[in-house]
Amino acid sequence: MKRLVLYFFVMSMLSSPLLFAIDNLKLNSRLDYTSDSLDGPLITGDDAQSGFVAGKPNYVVIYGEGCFNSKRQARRTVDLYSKYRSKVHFVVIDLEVQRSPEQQKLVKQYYKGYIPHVLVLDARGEALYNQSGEVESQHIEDIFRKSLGE
Amino acid sequence: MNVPILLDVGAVWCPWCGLMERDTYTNVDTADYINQHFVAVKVDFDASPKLVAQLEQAQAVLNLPAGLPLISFITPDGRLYFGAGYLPAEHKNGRPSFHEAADEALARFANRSKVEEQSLQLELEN
Repeated sequence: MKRLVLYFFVMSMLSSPLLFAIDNLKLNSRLDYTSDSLDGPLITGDDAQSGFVAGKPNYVVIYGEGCFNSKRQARRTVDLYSKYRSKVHFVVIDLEVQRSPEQQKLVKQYYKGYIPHVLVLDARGEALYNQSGEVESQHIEDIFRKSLGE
Repeated sequence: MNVPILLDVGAVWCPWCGLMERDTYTNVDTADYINQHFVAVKVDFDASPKLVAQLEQAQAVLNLPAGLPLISFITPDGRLYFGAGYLPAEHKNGRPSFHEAADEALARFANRSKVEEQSLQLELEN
């Protein structure tokens, strides 16, 4: 019986999408978010190379480090993360650095050459929002809520 | 000429493009080095944004840095095989210098079988 419980515990941990999602998102404290600069990633976090994870909506931002529009979207991204971290997976893709195969899959499928690029994918990976350019948090929140059935 | 193309995309509103022009390209040794080893092409983002978007996308697909400035290394027959973003005159904060990146591009170009393996034929529409 103990073995069975342990088996189910391990399996549930392995299948938990939270294990693979980026977490602890923060703005890079070394950067000035009111001007152009090129001093490193705009958003830092644990497991920063994670890609799409099924089971919850995913918010994906593809950005460039020296891009002021990306910086403004980075601030919105971290704000959204602080409000929806328990309900939505966040994926942060920095085009300045080499990316994981999981992130490259998203880049190949959705990136069209303009930054920032924002995606909201539903729990199965269908795109609910897929646009280049900045987008207001309210608009993304509306999509989150609809996707979450709220 | 069997030398690679060094394509630099910049914009007047991009401070890092301006910095690279001032610090990297105006260096006489660097200019000589470029003239000796590459066919240099400069593209203004605003003159051809659609074309540049395709280049950015191609560079991203190869898992190379994409953004502005965009530095692309292309074979004479139009295969994108290496690239970078802003490249300072000197190696700085883990970012390779222009010379280091260009040397890497030449080394890769010399290995044609690897170029065939890890490159993308550009078919750009303006």
